[in-house]
Amino acid sequence: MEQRRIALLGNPNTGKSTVFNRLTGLQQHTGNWSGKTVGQAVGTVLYGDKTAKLYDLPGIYSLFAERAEECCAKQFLCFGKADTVLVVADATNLERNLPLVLQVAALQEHTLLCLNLTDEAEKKGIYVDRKRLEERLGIPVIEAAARAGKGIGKIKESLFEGHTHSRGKTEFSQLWQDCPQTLAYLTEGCEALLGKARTTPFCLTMVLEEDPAFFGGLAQEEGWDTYRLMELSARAEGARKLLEAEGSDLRTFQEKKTIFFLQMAENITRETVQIKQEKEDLTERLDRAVLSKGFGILLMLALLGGIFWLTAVGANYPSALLRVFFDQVGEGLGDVLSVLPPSLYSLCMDGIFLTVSWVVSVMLPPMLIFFPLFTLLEDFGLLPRIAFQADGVFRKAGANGKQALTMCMGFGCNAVGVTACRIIASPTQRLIAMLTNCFVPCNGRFGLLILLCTVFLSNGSSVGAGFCLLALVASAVGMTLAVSFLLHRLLGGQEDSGFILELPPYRRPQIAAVIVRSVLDRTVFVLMRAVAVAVPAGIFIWLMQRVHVQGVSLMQLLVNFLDPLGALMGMSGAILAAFLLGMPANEIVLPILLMYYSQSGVLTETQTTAELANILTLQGWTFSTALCTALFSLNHFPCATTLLTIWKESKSKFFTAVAFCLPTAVGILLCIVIHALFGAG
Amino acid sequence: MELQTLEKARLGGQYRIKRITERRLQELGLCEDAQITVLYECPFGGMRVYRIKSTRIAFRNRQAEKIWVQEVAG
Repeated sequence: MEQRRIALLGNPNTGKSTVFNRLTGLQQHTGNWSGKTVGQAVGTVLYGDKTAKLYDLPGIYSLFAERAEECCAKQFLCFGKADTVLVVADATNLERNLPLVLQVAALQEHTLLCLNLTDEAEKKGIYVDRKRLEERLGIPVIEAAARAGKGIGKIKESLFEGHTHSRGKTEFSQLWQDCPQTLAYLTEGCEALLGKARTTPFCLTMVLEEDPAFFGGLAQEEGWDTYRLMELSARAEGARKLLEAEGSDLRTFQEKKTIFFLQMAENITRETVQIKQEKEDLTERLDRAVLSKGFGILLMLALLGGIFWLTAVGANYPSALLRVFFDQVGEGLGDVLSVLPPSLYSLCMDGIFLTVSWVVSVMLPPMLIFFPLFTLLEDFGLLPRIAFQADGVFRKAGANGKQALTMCMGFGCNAVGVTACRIIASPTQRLIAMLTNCFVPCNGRFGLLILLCTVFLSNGSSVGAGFCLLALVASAVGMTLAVSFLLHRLLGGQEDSGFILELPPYRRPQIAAVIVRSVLDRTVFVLMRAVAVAVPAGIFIWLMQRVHVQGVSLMQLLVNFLDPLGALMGMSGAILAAFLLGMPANEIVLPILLMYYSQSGVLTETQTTAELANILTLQGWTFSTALCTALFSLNHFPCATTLLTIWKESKSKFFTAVAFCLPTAVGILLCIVIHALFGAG
Repeated sequence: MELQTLEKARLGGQYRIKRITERRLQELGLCEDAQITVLYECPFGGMRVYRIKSTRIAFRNRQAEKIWVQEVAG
């Protein structure tokens, strides 16, 4: 027997992904804001000895819009890919959800409604008459509170054993009342071309509008040739002419259609929903502070600043512990590998193992702190509000507020920031956000920046260093905006393409789930990519030190080669070489530099800041060197992990190359100018 | 009361939608005759939060220009 196929559909923020996870047991990332489900998640639902495939479709409000998400969902439903559609609706806001439910019920033969978030609705004093709703819609309705796992069993039961499924009672045909001739003409044509079973009011609408998703689907899924498609197009055109003859036109028809569903939703809501107490809810009260102009901004900056500070400070301890752990592992591994010839042993231990363990121990702890905290904000519902507050500034750069969010994630890790750019709908704006993400320093660069601020750029006081760091971060944000603005002009984006954000109610974050998700989705993902690049990089760095040409090591050759450029930029060949070799992870730039300075041949760290200051001063570092190094750290090629991510996300070698060259060029120019201005002194 | 476009509506004011030509927002439930409240504006302007029924939606003034409203007294 063929496996049943179930499609999961619903508005954004209805807990659709939570329902998906509960039904399949698969941990898919859920978020308290729209635009999260990108691509298509598929899971398996088990019920006794039966199984079914569950397809998570993107969160949408209507089947009639023409964005990629809606088209994807519509095609999936139209071309029989699903036996049953499970629509998830938010019980606290039923009216908003009903148009989609009604549309699906009109299109699909087997529809099931999951009325989710009933626990929240109850808290707000909102009661939905399930029985009455079932009658009005003509489809089964199941109450659920997916976060608590309530109702999931019933949904399964209904999915596998329900025999009552039938097409919903959406009286779509009313829409055609004023244009009987058009309807007759279109029906005749569709019955001939599409077959009788397909000729439903919903389908007729799509033909009349020459819906690109529907026509595209006919070609892709059912192999229609151009001739057949043109025949259907001709019918549609004829029908539109008739429509005009009957005193209407396509625009009016579409508007009527939208209003038809909205009105039906309103009527049904009036009959089925009772609001027992209307009190000002928490969301309203919180929003008054969070969305206010002055205090709201301060609050958000303080929150984000607090997270960065906790990450930078808090990561030191687990990092040190990890180093101790890896030292022990290294000793054990060394014993085992001691059977190898000395050079191979050194390659494995000093090259691969040291680099990989270094990257893991400096990268893992900050990510383990940053991402769970950030995900908590996301779960709470704060991210769309941050996007709103930032939109005014980002609009001026041709971007939108969502880029503020991807930028914030870039502070944690640029590779994650680049992946997060998926939330930006416009392809041009998304590309710009990806290309500019590495202009903000990730955790890996903060270590070096803090050091430079403390030792060289401030007068030694921690307050001074703090202000220095703040100035650097502000300049990074400014640079992001400036480059975004220029790219926007260059790529010819529209002036103001419009931007819609839904602000969901605040919800209590699910702390345990947050930790699991952020670790699985973000941390492990980045770490695996980082290790993948650290292995070859470890070998490379090792070879650079050991291979000599005419008595000079490759490393020294590279340093000599880069020296003129380094001098021009107010740094040195050694610093530039460290940045280049630090490609696998920004965290190892400083250790590589120290390795070179001390000629130790392995990645090196020093115990105290004072020692470090001493070494660097001995190597001729001045205020100007530190300033140029800090600026180049902010503005240079992204790390290998980020580049790999940009390549995977943009699927374009060209733009990956741009992502490499653009910040590098900015950094080189900036350093040359700064050095020319301040370097002489 | 006279008609005006939504981006000119005052903060805190309650309005009734009279005409709307922005499809995307129509799909989100902003239809003729619906009530809409202007709640907040972002720093540097250009985008505002509105309440429609019991949801909060933010969109740009560029989009609000395509919505004609009339102030509701009281």
